[in-house]
Amino acid sequence: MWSVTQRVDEGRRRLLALVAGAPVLGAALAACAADPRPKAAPGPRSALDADVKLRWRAVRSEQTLLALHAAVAAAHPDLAATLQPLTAHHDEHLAALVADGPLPYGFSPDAVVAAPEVAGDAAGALAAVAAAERAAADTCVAASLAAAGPRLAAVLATIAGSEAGHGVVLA
Amino acid sequence: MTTTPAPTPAPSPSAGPGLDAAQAALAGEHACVYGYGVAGAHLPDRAEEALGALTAHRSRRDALTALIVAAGAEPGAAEPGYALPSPVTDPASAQALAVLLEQRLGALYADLVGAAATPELRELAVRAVVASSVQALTWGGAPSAFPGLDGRV
Repeated sequence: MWSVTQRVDEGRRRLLALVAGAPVLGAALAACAADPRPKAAPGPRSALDADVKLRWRAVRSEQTLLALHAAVAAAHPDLAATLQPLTAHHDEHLAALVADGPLPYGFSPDAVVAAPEVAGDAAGALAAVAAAERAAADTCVAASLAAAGPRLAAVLATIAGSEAGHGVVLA
Repeated sequence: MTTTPAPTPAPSPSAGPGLDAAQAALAGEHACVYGYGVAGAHLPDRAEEALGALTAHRSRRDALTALIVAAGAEPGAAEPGYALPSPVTDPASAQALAVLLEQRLGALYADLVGAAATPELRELAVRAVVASSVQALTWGGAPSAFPGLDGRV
């Protein structure tokens, strides 16, 4: 399969040498510096309220994942080093979501989430974290699709990407 | 070949920033498809995976092209050739290229998530952000908190 591609590849390299001004791959893929924060006026009130709820649910989801990480790390100290960098991502997710706008009245971002049960074996505990990460990613995808605000939609999509990645790393 | 002129597409509500972001993502997919052609040639032990990624990018490129056409715009074409950001000579440099492609594509799609003017474009972009994040990891990229928006949140 790739032997064919390899020959094509050689041809492309020659082509590249010949084509003056061939665009640099990195330039075509250069991350747009566009600020994803909405610049237009906020949408209708109902859309804003719906977004507050989406953000609130995402905050809750992060708190639940953080509680699970903490419980697993406490029950299985050997897993703490594996989980730590991923736990730090959830701290970042939570901070970004909380900082991004109002949350429902009376909501405390420091609310304690009940400690979840942790499997007695390390492999089972880790598998439970991976499953929770994947489920949270799916929820974030749905929330991103539903979000009215462009900034919230983008943040939720990348949180989904992060958590789906955690699911892969831990699997 | 008959020469019936193509009807001029009516102005679409999705013209504007949303379409610019879609065109930017499409340009990224074109570059990515090219890049995987190069990287795959240097990944004999992971040829199936590289081919799978290439196929996924081709199909997303086609889906994005169709959505841009549906929005009444002319989808950007692939360039005849692309210069690589760094030489690809072995599996390690091929994987590094694949990671870079996925990460940069993820950033373009994160922009499109926010800018997309239709639910279809939004959905394609959200799923692409997730796919590129996961794919970058499989090529050896490091997990991140906001893949596609890192440093911009």
